[in-house]
Amino acid sequence: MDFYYFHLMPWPYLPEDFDENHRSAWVTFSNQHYDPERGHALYNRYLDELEYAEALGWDGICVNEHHQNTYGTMPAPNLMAAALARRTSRAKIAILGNGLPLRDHPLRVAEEIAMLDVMSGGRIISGFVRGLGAEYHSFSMSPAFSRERFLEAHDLIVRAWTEPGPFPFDGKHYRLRYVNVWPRPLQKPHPPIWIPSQGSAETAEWAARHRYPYLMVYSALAVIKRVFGEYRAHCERFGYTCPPSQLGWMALTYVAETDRRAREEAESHIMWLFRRGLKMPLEFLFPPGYMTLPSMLRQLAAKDKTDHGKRTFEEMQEQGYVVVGSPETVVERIREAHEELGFGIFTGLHHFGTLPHDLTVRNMELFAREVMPKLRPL
Amino acid sequence: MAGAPGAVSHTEEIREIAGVKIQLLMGGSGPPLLYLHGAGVAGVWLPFHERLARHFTVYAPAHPGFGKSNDPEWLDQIQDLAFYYLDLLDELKLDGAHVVGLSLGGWIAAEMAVICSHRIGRLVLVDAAGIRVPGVTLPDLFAMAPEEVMGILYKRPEAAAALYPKDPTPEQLEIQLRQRMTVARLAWNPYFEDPKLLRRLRRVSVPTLIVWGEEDRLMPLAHAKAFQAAIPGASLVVLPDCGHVPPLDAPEAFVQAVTRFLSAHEA
Repeated sequence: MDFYYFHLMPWPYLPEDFDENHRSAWVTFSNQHYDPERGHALYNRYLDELEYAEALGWDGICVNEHHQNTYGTMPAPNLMAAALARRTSRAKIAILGNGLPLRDHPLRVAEEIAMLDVMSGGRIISGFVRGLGAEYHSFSMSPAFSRERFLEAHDLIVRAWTEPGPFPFDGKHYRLRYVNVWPRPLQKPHPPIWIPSQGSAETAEWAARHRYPYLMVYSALAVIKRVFGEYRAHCERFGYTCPPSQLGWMALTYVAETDRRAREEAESHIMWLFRRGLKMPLEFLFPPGYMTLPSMLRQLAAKDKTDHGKRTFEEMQEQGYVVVGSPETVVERIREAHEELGFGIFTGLHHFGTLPHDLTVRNMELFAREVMPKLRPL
Repeated sequence: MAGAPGAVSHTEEIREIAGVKIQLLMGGSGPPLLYLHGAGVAGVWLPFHERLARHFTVYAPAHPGFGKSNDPEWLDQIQDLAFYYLDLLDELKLDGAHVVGLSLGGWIAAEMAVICSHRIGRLVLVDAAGIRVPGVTLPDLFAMAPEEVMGILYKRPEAAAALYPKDPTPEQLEIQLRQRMTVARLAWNPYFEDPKLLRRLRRVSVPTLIVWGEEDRLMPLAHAKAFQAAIPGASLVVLPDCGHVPPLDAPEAFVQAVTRFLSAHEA
């Protein structure tokens, strides 16, 4: 099993009246609540934590892209990846990912990832995402074109990385006479592409067709099991058997000496993420056209993603959104999930919400020392 | 079908017109009138259709991407629908048809008249979308919960509530979701606007009536005045105590204004 350390870089300093008077932590939550002085300290602390993950033995460190929100203050994840590229030397740097449809010019993504890959000596993993529905409000960009822009931008970027330039590209959304990206990426044929997803049927099929590792985020184990099953079936249909290295599970993870202490230390910070960081009205989360009609109908029928804020800590633990406990408990939970799901990539969110630095570091150290070695051979 | 005096029948069919299978509601007799619905309610024959049908042969299609009509893959901007309906007028051989459009349908109607006024009898724009008035910021319907949207659209939301069922059947739910997707394609950004339209409205060469709910909270009266100023010779009727959707908020006044205008020009 490979271990990836994921950081969201949240803005934890919310006003006292947030719960009562703010319907969303996204899109419209005023940037007057952001304090750049504290932000300076916070960015550097968060980067320290990511760098420390390499020192502790993680295989990769992960950043991602979200806009206009308190949940994650990384609108430009490639900037963070650049900072990390110069301060680390071994770990993979996974950008999970760039929000392709949000770019008016996808070649910018092709260029930046290629630069990062060359700078880092071929350590870049390039996640491609569409962003949450909320980003389409933040960018005033129609979600109805999100999927087609994603697919077209993907095709353009992969061709830009692999085909000799210059060549023309004639898409619906992107028309370019001279595709000729300098530099070219270092890894051959190109940096690995990962697809983080909440399990849409179309995305699973598409990722399986391209043999892209598929990473399930914020999902109950039962849902992940179903989606991984569908993904595996697609792989078979495309003529190969899905290796574990193509399946990833992301969970909030916290380790302390005992189960009780772990929960005491982690619970409020975990709840912050689900109840505050992800707080937004349904209209932001699922704008029209963001999902295909079948996916939207399935979503409405499941009502699963829509009630993060209502789930109790126990439910989240039971359903596998979070893995919290003593080293033994955490080993056991991940081992069970592995048996059930067969993933080869474990992506832990070892910092979440308002978790302070000292607890983050202790959580990381305990996980690296007591948990990781026992799960490595799986 | 026999009924109360003046009652007319209507038909409903799914029919391929100009390359798209669409849901077409039709009724009445007299000069042809093409009614173009707004973004919310499509493919339903309502009392105001019935009243208009006493004077006109009313054609009330659900736009491609709405109601039970198909979703053509080429549909991604409002002119696509304007050209579609010009094709429809040709295919149904409707000469001199009056075009009455509400909100998003008014936007389509205005674009049709800009492209091809001579295919149209007379034009009625009802709380029409399509233009931006400097200094006016329209509320963001896409960011609102359904109840909030109702409050913005209707002066009397309860009168329209039946058209937006809280517990829709699977078929109704699918239509609702598809329609919202279509609207997101056509009107997300620019928001219910074609930046070229206002300037081009000078090309409209048919008699034009602008009907507006005085208390329209989505597209305020300033929009009506901008349409009136831009369309040569256009007249404006403002309906008091009425929101964004006159056919439902003030059906009698709406029908009266429309029939008076269209009939007056018949002679």
